[in-house]
Amino acid sequence: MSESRLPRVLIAEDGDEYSERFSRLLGAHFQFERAGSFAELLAKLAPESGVRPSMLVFDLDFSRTPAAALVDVDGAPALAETAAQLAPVQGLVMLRALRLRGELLPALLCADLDNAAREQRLREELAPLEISSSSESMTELAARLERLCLQ
Amino acid sequence: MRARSIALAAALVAIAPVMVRASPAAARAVRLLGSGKPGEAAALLEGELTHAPTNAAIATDLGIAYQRLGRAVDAEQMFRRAIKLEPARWYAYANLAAMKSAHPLSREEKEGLVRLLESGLARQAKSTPNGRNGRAGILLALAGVEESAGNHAAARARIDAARGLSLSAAQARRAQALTQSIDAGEAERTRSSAIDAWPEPSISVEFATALDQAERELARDPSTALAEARRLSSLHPGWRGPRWLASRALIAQGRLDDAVAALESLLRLDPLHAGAWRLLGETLAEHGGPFEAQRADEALQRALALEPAWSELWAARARLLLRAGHSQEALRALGNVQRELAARAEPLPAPLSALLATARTQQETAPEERTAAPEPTPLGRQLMREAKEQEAAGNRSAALGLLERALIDSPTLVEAAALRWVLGGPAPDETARALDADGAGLVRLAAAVQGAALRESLRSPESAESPESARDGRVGSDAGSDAKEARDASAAAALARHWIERAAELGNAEARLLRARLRASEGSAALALEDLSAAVAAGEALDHPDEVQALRARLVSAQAESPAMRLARAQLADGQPAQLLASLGGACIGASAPADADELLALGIANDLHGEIVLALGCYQAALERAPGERETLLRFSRAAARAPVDALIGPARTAALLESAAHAEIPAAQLAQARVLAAAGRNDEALAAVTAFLSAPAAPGFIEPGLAGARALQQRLDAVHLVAAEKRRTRLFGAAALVLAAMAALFLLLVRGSTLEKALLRDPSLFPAVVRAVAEVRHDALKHRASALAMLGTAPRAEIARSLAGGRPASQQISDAYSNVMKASRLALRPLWREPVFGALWRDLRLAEAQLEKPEGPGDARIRAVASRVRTHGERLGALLRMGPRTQLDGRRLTDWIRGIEAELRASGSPFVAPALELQGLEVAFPVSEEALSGLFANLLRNAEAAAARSPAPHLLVRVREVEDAAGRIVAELHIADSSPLPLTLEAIAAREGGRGLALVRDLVREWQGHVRIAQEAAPLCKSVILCFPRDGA
Repeated sequence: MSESRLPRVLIAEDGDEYSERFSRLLGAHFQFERAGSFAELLAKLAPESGVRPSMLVFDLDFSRTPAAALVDVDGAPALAETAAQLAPVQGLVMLRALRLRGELLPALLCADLDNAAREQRLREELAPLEISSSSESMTELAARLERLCLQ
Repeated sequence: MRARSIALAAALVAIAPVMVRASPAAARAVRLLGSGKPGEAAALLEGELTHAPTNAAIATDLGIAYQRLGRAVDAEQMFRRAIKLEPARWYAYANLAAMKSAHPLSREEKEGLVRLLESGLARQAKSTPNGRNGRAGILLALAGVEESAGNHAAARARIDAARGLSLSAAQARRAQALTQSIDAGEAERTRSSAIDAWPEPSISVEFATALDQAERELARDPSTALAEARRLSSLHPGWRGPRWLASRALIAQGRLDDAVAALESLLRLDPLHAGAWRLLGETLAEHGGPFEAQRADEALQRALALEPAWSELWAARARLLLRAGHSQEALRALGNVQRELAARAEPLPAPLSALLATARTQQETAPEERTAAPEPTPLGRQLMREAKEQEAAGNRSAALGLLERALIDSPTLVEAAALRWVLGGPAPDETARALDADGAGLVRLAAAVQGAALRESLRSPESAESPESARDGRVGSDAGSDAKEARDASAAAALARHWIERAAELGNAEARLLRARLRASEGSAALALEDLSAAVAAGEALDHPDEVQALRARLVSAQAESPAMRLARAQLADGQPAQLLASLGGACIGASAPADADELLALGIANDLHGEIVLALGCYQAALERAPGERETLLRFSRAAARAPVDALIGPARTAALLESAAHAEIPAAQLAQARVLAAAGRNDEALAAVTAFLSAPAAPGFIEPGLAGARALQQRLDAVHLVAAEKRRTRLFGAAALVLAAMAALFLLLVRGSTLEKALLRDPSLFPAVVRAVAEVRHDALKHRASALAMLGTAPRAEIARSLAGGRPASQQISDAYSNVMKASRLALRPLWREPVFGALWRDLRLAEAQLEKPEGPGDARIRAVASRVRTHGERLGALLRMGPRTQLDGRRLTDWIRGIEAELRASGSPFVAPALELQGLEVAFPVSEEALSGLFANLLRNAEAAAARSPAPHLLVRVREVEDAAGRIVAELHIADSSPLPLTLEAIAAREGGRGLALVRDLVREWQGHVRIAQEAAPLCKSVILCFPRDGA
């Protein structure tokens, strides 16, 4: 399948581990793109950016992201005093903010929440959402991506 | 042939005894001796001896000459030479004994002399006149020795035995002199055994004290005690005390002969000294040997007579008596002990019981004492002499009458019985009956009858006696072999046969020899050999020992020994190994070595006896080369090897092969030799086995295998070495075991040392933040971004998977680094990574996968897939650690306690304190922070708030605890400390503060615990609050 026909997956992460790894291992099946901040994410989701991604992947911890690029649950720039508490969960915060904006792309949160109830709550609140723990293999993750891309 | 020549010589002797003497010079020498010219006689005899070195008579006469010249040593040498040349020649014995008895002899000398005389006695024929003459002479010589030794009873017994043999005049005189001497000696003894002792001098206190001191010195220093005793005795010779002390001091020094003399001296002074008698008896009994047994017994008897309470001396007497074979007297002695013990109702002690049993056994097994026939009376002998005179005068009838009267008087007068029969009288049946239990008597009767018959046929007079001439008498047979047979000779032989048979039945050795001769002539070789063997075994003197050998040679067809061995054994028996070596050449190897195996064996034995064991070994080996496997040689070789220097055994392969062969042939000595070689080679265990086998080997009954003592010593030494080696082995083993145990312990400690993270978290909650960080890092980096790729093995390029896992810093290294950080943060000792159940397991799996990914695709990839399948489990286990974080329940009570603590602190320091209000959401809120940290945080915040509030006009403080849900859906525990200070406080300001105290401490500690700080405005009267937020569900 040509690259243009491959499902596009937009990865929101503070680094490039996901995008780089996914591209290497799953690049034959998906086209990956990275967004390092909420603003970048919005930009890539804008209609004018081109082909709309089929799904979103979120890293949870954005501790490497400058505080100024962090947002709160509304998608507004985070206050300095709240940056510390928002950075570790920035991915969720960004997704919540997207949901508040009406963005309903399927999302895959890569996070070890260690709380099934919380995971369930989040899936319900932020649907369509799947949460992938670090224990999940690439094949399982690939399956999720494929499933989510088809939604 | 030799027997015939002897018989001829005997006949010549009978006719012309003077012709026996070799030369006129010798006869002249005898006359010179009788003239009191021993010097000239000696010169002549020396010359004669040069020409006839084997003439025992000349040697004896020369000994007499030397003796009269005072050359005792030369005289003894000559007498002994004569004895050696003709062991049956009694003169030499008698002269030697007489010469030596004239001077004091040591006990050993006396015993040696007695043995020599008894051996001469045994060689004298019992049934010939010359033999009886010789026996009488030697018996009298023995009597003289006994008398000189003070053994009067034994001397009397010898004299009585001699008198029973028809003494010559000279011998009779000698016997009489001895008797008188004995009587005198006994009289002297009687005087010394008088009841009254000699009076003792009065002794000063000084001397008495000196004696006491010397007595005390005896145990410590007998020499000093003896010297003092002698000094005191010399000052007061009649004083018994010093003599008594001296006797005991001499015994202590082992000078037993001197002690005996001292005791006897004391007893002459004090015959009532019971202790001296006892000591004398005990000393003689223990050390005196059989020669002193009688004196010992007499002394003990005297002691008992003086001190009957010494009942133990009865047992000592019993032992002496048993030793002498007097079982009956021994039983009587023991009976005294038994009676005494029975009177006290005490059992007989075991040693005495054993003695009693021995005595009884000895009595039961004692040979039946043959009742000797009554000796002829002097009347009978007188009548016999008269009958001979009548017969010589041709008055046969008168002779017969006298003979009848003689036999009536003395039925056992065999000469009378024989002469009567020869003169036509009846067969000497009464005499035979009288002698029926007397084997020797019957042999004499047989000899007398045969001799009488022979004389009758020869019509030759009896030979005259001379003190220096020896005549060989013969019993019958060979003497008449070539002479004219008497008319009654066969009848005499027939009569004699019956008596000889009877005497042989009685066990008489001479009779056995006679019967052996008869049986041999009758063709009954086996029976003859039996008789001959019995006669030889009896050990009694046999007439003509050469004839015995000749008869043996006739009876024993095959010679088992070669002439060389026979000669060798003869020379060795004579103690002449050097002569044997010289005669055989000496060398066992080389051109001059004998070729005969027996000669080589003989050389070996000679060398062995000569002390040249190594040479002996060589000879034995040479003999074995000539006669391989010869058992006796192999035996001797082995026994020599068992004693030879080990160096002589090591090296020659032939020696080892021979020893092996001997060991295989079950020769024990070979095993001993092998043991010595093995021990020298340090092969101690094998040596020990060999020497043990030697010691365990069954020996021939009654045979003491040579080398036993050395073998036991070797076994002991090897045992000791074995024990030491075993000990060393045990020590090494224990050491090794200890090392192993130590290693195991170390390993065990290594294994058990250190805490798992789980346990460490329980014990030290402060470790949790570090664990959280490590878990987060590992899960995010190692698992999510790296290990998750393993599942794509087979679908994604191998290189990509490998790059995911091992690219850059390998995933396993990430695990290791993360765990190291935890270990550093821990106050407790944690297990090393490889033992840590959670991190370690993940680390091992990742290492395994990394290693396999380096290899080409292959069956080992199954390991990768296995690791991939375990990634989820690893994640879950890591997550489980996060659930072990501390939970500090903040409730009102705790808060109150903390507040009060701060209050006390502040008040103590004089700082203002405002009691904060408390606002709790619910009863309690769980903070995912250790109590220590939380209390510290609280304390710092409150102090800070107190300080801030104190600066406000109306200080107010509030402590609020609640839970909120954050934007990520986490439940966040919040601790608010609000104060009324209007002074602003920002997070930047807090962030900018230096760490270690106050809000900076709070900042760092909150961060440590995965929390964050925020500042919030508060409603009046409060102004702001510092809020500590701790998400309770992790990320």
